[in-house]
Amino acid sequence: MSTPVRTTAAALARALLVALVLLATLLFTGLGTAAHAAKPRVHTVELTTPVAARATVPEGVTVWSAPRATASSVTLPATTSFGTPRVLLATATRGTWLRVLLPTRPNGSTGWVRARDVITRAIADEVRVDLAAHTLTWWHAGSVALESPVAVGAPETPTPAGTFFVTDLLQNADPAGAYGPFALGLSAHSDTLSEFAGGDGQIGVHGTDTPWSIGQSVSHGCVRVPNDVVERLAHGLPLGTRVVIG
Amino acid sequence: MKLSTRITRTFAIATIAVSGSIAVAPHLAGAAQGPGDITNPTHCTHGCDGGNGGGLQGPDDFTAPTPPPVVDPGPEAQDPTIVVAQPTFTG
Repeated sequence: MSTPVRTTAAALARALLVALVLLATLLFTGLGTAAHAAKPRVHTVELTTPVAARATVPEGVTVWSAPRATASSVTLPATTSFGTPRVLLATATRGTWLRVLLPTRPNGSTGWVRARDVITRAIADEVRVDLAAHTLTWWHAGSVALESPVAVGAPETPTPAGTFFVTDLLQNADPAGAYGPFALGLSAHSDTLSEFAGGDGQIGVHGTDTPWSIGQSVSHGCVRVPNDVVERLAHGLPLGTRVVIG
Repeated sequence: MKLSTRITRTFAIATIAVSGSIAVAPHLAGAAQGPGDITNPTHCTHGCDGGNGGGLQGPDDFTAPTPPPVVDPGPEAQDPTIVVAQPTFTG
C-alpha cells in the first residue's frame, strides 16, 4: 500500500507527463497545419535575357508602383508620341506581374505591369555605348554584330548613363536632315534639357548631316552615328532592345 | 500500483502518443526535404503555372504569356516597327 506522499508524487509526475504529451501533440499538429495553410511565397525572379513587353490593351498599359492592385498606378498610352506601339523592357517577374523599365523621367524609373496586359518577347540584341571611347557596339546573341564610332553629348549637355531601351524606330521624312535617314528613340531623357525641338528632351540614336562630328563629344545628348550605321540599326533592332550607356 | 510502475506506464503512453502525432503529420516529417515545401522552395524562372490549388505558387501563378525561348533569327532578320515621323530628340 502506498503512502499519501508517494501517491501525491506519482500523481504529479503523471500529470506532468500527460501535459508534456499534450503539448508535443499540439505543437506537431499545429505546425503542420500552419505549414500547409500558409500562402506560398512569391519570389521576384530577375530575367537573365532582356524581354520586350508590348502593350495589348488598346487603352494603354497600366503601370503600378508595386506588384499589387492597391498600389498607385499610371496608364501609359498604347502608342508613343510618334505613333509607335508601346513596348517596355521587362527585367523581372513576380507572380503574375512583370517589372519594367519606364520611358519616363527620372531616368531609370521602373514599375510593374500585369503580365496579361502585354505580350512578351525575348530579345537577343543589345546595344552598348561607351561614352569615353565614343563607340557603339551592337551585340547579337553574344556576338558583336556591328561596332561604330559615335558622337555623344557635349560636357554641358552630356549623354545620360544608364540602362535604357529602344522605344521608337523612326524613318525621317528628310533623310538629308540633322537626324539622318533614321532615328531610334530611347527611354532616356537629358538631365540638362527639359525640352528640345518640340520634344521633352528624349535621347535618341540617329544619323547626322555632320559626319565629321563623329568621334567627338559635341551633341545635345543624343548619340550620333554614321547614316549607314543607323540604317542597319533601324532595320535590325527590335523595339525594346536594351541599350546600356556608360 | 508502485510508483515506478506508474512512471513506466506513463512514459510508454507518452512515447506512443508522440510517435502517433508524427505519423499523422507526414508533411512535418518531410518538411526538410520536400521540393515544394516552404523551407525549400523551387524557383520558377519561366512560368510555374499550376493554376488554383496546384503548382508551386497557387493563385498567383504566372499565367500570362511567358518569355519564349530565345530564337536566333540572325542579327538583321528582325521585323521592326518603323514609323515615318519627324524626330524631336535632343540631337
